[in-house]
Amino acid sequence: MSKKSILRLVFLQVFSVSSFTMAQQLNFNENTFFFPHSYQYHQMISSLGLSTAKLPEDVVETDDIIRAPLFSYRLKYGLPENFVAEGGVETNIVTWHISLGPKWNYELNRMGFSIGTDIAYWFGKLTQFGFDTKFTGWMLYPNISAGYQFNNFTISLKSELVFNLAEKSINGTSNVANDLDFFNGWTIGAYLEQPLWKDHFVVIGIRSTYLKFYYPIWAAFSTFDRTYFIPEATFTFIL
Amino acid sequence: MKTIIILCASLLLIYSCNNEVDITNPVVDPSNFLSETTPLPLDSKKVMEGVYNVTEGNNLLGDQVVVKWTRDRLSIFSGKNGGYIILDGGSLDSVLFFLGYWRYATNTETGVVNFYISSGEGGKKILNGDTTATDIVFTGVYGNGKESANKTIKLQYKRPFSQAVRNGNFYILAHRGGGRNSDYLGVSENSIEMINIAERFGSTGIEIDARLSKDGVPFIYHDSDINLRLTQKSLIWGNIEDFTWPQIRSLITLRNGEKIPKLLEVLSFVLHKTELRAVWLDTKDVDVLPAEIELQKAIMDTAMTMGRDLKIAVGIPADDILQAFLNYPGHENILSLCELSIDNVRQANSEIWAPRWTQGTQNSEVQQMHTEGRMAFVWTLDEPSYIEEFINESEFDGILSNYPTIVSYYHYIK
Repeated sequence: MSKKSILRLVFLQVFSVSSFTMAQQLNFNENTFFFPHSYQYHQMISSLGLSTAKLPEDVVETDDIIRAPLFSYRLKYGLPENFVAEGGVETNIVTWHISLGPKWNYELNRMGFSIGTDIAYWFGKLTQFGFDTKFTGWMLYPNISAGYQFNNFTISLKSELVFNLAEKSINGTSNVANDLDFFNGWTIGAYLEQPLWKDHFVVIGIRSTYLKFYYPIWAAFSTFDRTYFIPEATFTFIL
Repeated sequence: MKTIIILCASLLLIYSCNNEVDITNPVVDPSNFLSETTPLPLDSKKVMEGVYNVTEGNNLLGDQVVVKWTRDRLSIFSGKNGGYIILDGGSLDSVLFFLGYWRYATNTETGVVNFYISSGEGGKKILNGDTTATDIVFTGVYGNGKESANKTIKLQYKRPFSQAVRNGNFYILAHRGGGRNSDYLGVSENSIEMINIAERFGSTGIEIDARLSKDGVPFIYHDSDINLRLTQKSLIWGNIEDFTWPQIRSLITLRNGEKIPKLLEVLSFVLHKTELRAVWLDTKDVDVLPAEIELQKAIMDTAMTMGRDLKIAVGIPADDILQAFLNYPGHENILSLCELSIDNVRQANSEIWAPRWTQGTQNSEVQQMHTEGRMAFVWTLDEPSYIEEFINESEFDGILSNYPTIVSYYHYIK
């Protein structure tokens, strides 16, 4: 999919969803999560989300459209000097991904910018279907975000690089340090945040990932040394 | 409503994107040079086999490779990216020439490669079948992608295969006849064309998937449905076993243009046209079991009269197939391979136990099988680091893999 097509999709979503928004003054700084606004010291915003992905056919060997639902809980916590700490947990039950990292946010009029990095520990365990397997790993996600406040909604873009720091798997009594490439790929996502009712916001997002190793499907033990485009759709409630 | 429609349309659009892989196989021997050479005798081929140091051009395959003749090609296996070289060759005077291509198994990088062995660097001794030849040097050039061969590569004989390797009876089994469609080998999985090249990857056996057509003809095909992962667009779709053999044969074309083969055609091909030692029939549906057993018996009887070392094992991958197998008269004497528990193996009197690799090396269970006179294969192991681990630390008699080239490398350097 071309960059032009992705931008077109984002525009379509903004245009369509905005028709539901209310003509009232909204406090985005207290109710949006992906928009990189500045945080007051000790301010907390959390979100609960669900995402699905279209997995690479080479790896999963099926043409089912939507797979790998992931539930996520994320929390941002305001620190002094425009710094924000962000943590999150993603899971599909078999796999858990726990991330934490600092960000520095900067707001200019209706725009917001953010730069930061997250480090994540992830692990998976499967003891059914002929598996006696555990897989653990560490990943690093340097990231940047930019967003714009419209009257009734915000639109934000977030891009990140993905690095594999270390990984290890255990199958029965066999214990091997896997050898994934250090640079795993990159992602870019577009997120629309708008009120669902009153000041309760929801987020609709599309993320394009270009990765060699997609951790939620670690159990496939894919050995393909090529980058796959894996699109994700997310739906998130701001708590 | 408008929002939902546009959102759904957007998601469908973005989800419809495919990860197309573009691979251009290099043109080998465009001037037909090898037709002017003399094919090498079997004795000469054996002299060349062994472990070699890469003394120049180790960017391509690392520092060490395995050189092994297969039925019709000289194959070179390495530990770098599952890299391998497939060569055709012959002699002219006392110089040996080899032309072919290299490929990384785990991605789609490939290119041409050419070698020669001069008369003084082993060529003469090889042609004389001199088994004491230890000074063999392959001198060659290779290219990346479509470029011509322009980078130097040199291989120096290091040692012969170990006694354990030469005297062993280890099975290197290729998944789906040689590899998956997603390995982009230029031929389709579960096709005769794939089986024809399986030995070049070091395979000594293959695994294939057996199904039964609506009119009772066993054929090989992996999935239950007709889909674009395995086939080109066709006029029929749905469950493939709902169609008759004439419909399957005439209306479906495999991904790379081949026709779906009958199981009989495949087994006959293996028997008469290859030197493969094992066929693992993965029973995909309980209905195919009786026909599979009949064909197995017929082909193995013929193999026996030919003095051919060929095992054809009926796969028992699931409980319903085990039950049907146990209900089959005389099942105790049928060569079978059971993927279930050790107790099920004993129940079916299977000659081979085949657990999934993700349960580990299971050495004590494998030893139990050996004590009972059975063999043990493990499937489907593709992760290079685990292949090395299983080759060196486990007691399995065979490994099923999509990368028989990687299994070959770690087996032959053992």
